[in-house]
Amino acid sequence: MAKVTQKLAALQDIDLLISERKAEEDLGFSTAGLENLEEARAKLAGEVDGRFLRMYERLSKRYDRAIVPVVGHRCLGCSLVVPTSKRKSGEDRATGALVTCESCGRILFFV
Amino acid sequence: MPVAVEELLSFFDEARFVPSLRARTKAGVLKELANALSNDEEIRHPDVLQEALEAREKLGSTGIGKDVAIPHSRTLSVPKLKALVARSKKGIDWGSADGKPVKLFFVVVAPPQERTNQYLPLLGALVSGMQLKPNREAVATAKNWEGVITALESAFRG
Repeated sequence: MAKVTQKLAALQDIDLLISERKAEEDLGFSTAGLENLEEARAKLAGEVDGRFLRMYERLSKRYDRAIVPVVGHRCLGCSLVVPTSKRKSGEDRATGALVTCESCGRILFFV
Repeated sequence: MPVAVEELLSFFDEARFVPSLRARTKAGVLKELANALSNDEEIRHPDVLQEALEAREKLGSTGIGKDVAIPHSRTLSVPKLKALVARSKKGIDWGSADGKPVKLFFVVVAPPQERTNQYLPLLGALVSGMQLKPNREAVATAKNWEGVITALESAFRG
């Protein structure tokens, strides 16, 4: 899988942590380090090519999650079957970069 | 609706039991925990998993005091909710509020799209169950996996 996909996956994991922090606090967990996490997010975002980061941000506004796993050869965002050519490598062969769903446009993560 | 105890226990597995951690630092333990989880063939991106656990610690220590930490995260790197139990004989400085080293670790990871909504209930059950000393001691002193799972069942039943 392309490294940029892994970085964006890590970025989305952080975004989810930030958005769920209230539920964490309710359970008694500390979330006092929000600034630290936001710094880490900014650092990670800085490591991602700008065009892919913009794609991620744009998709994040449109959907709950910009990146979705491929389960049973299907995009878990819209259930479309991912073509075999994309399944093998988990990345676009031409660009070595992100693979997106041909139907919904979400970034695909091959688990 | 409360999640059944049997269901909570189903997220644990003997294959995800580390009786004695080797690492002696927080960073080392996070790596060891991520590696232990990644022995599971369903988890193919250990780096992403480790990064998620590390990110969660940046938000705040998952040490809940009384020798216990519950590292956790939602992450794309796992296909379904999984939990792991690990123990450290010497204890690890985890930045817990009570300042005590952590000897019992319960790791909980789940995919973002986890639809059964059992991630937070499992975290809650662990936080609650590990408040009682007999429960903690039962997990800490269990001689085998059977003992651990019996202790967890008792902790979850309250």
